[in-house]
Amino acid sequence: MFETFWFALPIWMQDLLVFLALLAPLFIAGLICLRGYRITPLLVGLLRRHRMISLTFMALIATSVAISASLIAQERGLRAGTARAAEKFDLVVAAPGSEITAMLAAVYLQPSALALVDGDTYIKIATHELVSLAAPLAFGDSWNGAPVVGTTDAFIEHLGDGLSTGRMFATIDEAIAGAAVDLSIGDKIAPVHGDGSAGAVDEHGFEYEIVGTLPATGSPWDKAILVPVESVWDVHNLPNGHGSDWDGTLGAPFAPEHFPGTPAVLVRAEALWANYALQSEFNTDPNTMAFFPGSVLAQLHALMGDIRQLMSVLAVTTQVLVAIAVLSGLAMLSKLLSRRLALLRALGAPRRFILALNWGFATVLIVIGAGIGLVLGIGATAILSAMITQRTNVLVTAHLGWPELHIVAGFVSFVAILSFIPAYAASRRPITEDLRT
Amino acid sequence: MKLPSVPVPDLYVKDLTLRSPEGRCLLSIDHLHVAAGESLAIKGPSGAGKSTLLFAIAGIIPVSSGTLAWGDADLAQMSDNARTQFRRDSLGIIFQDHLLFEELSAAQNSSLAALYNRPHTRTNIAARARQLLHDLGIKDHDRPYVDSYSGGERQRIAVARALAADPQVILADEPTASLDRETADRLIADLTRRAKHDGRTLICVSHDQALLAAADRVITIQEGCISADTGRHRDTRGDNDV
Repeated sequence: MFETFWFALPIWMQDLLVFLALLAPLFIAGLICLRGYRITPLLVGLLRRHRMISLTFMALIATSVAISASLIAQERGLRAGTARAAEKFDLVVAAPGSEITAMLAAVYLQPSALALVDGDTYIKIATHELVSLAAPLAFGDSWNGAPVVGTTDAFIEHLGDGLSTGRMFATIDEAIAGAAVDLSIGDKIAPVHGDGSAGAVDEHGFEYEIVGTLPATGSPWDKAILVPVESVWDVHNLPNGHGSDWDGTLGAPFAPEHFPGTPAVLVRAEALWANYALQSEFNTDPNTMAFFPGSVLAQLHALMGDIRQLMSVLAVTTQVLVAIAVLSGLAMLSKLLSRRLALLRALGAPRRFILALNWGFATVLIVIGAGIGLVLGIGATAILSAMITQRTNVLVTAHLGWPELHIVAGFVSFVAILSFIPAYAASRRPITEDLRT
Repeated sequence: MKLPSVPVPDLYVKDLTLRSPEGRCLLSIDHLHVAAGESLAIKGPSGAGKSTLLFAIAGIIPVSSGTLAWGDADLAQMSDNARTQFRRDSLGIIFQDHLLFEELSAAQNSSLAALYNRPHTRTNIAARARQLLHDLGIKDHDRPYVDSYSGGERQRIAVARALAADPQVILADEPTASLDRETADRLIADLTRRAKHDGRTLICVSHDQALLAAADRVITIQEGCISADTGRHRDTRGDNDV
């Protein structure tokens, strides 16, 4: 009955209800504790009088909330970003080896030493009846830190769903720039061997002219320069994939005896089932290894899932430790306030009023601290996302979501309930001794 | 602005003993009767037990044995909560060094009781507090911090706080101790006039001769016992007028 009702609700409604349920102990405790009293003037007065202590406590809470919320949001953003970056890579066929290494090289353009798929195998893939796209990918060169990748026009069309400006390359000395590469149409580049990180410059003495640019894909390919695969083979003094009678037309068909090999082939079939059939077929071939980058990524995400759980536990533990430290501080502060609290009791204020005042003071610090922490968390998340995007070229668009709000709501409620302990202790202090302090 | 109140009760003390948590006898009063509307001053050397008696009369210190009754309400038999409620409903207390909340305004300090009293009395308490501040010559009630007032003004704010809930009894612990003569005289005049005018009982602990002279009656406490009871109406030897 409840399950039927619950799962009929929209997801946002479920999240909102969970959020409110987590805050419910705070509201209920507040209603019971503050009922019939007006603590605001004294509360504002206390916050004003002890503003440095209050600000310190709030800053501690805000920092712990901001760090934990932004870290958890970042992990989710990274997961979404890496998944988005792999969307265009239906099936990758490579020489047998590590799927993760091949995926990092083909999808995320991480420099890796991969065995090559030979010409016969490539032709077998490319001419398979189920295959609609079989694009060789050739890595190894770079320009100004941007990887220069050899491929075919069909792959570029598939990757960017067309170009954003200019036209497709038509000759071996023309190139397409990714959206994040600081190049414009008409610019010329001379690639070097390697990723350029070692500082060694080994120019090939070959220049490309940029003739088109790709739209942003949110993947490392935004920072790549895509060139005809024939040119990559050519500048490395390898056969260019075509025979001596080649008329200069780029791309397939390639001649197997002139095909120098490719570290990875992006394969695409029109039907989903066909992709599975191809993966099965090329995985049983001793010369190839076929994998879905999405599946490999899912395995990595499963590992990250464990880390996420650990991070969540650590985040909450940190928050609770900070909160306990703050509550201990408040317990000490209530000793400083003891004369004033005793005065209130002497004037006729009930114990519950003293409890409400102390609890309200602690809760205001916790709620405001957590609120500031969430705002800081949003900022920290944006900064961290930009840094990760800058470093990995995987577009990470992390933002605080319901999971973070749930953690913060649970934290606030838990600590608010916990803060009844020092508040209760303050309400039980002896009046006479404190008045004479 | 008049708040609903019950008639002022007499105070009866009989065989009252107060002991410290260690068992030391702090106070031992065989008999004390304060009539409703009377003003009583308590004097004696330091450490004799004057403030202890005042705090016991206020129900702040629990009684070890004996009777300490305001009318029919015996504080010795009451729970802590009941004594607190009695203070809230019937007593106004003034302390030696004002004991104001420095970060609040004069108006907020004097209407402190409105924060924890029954909601329907709040408006009256606040209005009465403002009127009292005005009558006592405190200008600019809403100045955000009360620490900008002089010592005399602050003690008058404390008087307004004690009277804001319209208590039947005013208790004061050395109310003029930190004031100069002129300010102290003005405060004594204010306090006694207000007590007399409204028929309130006034009990003060004081060394101030002017305050002692203004009281209907003076008792002296020595080593926790009443050693003398003098005044315009009676002394310790009997009920004879003096």
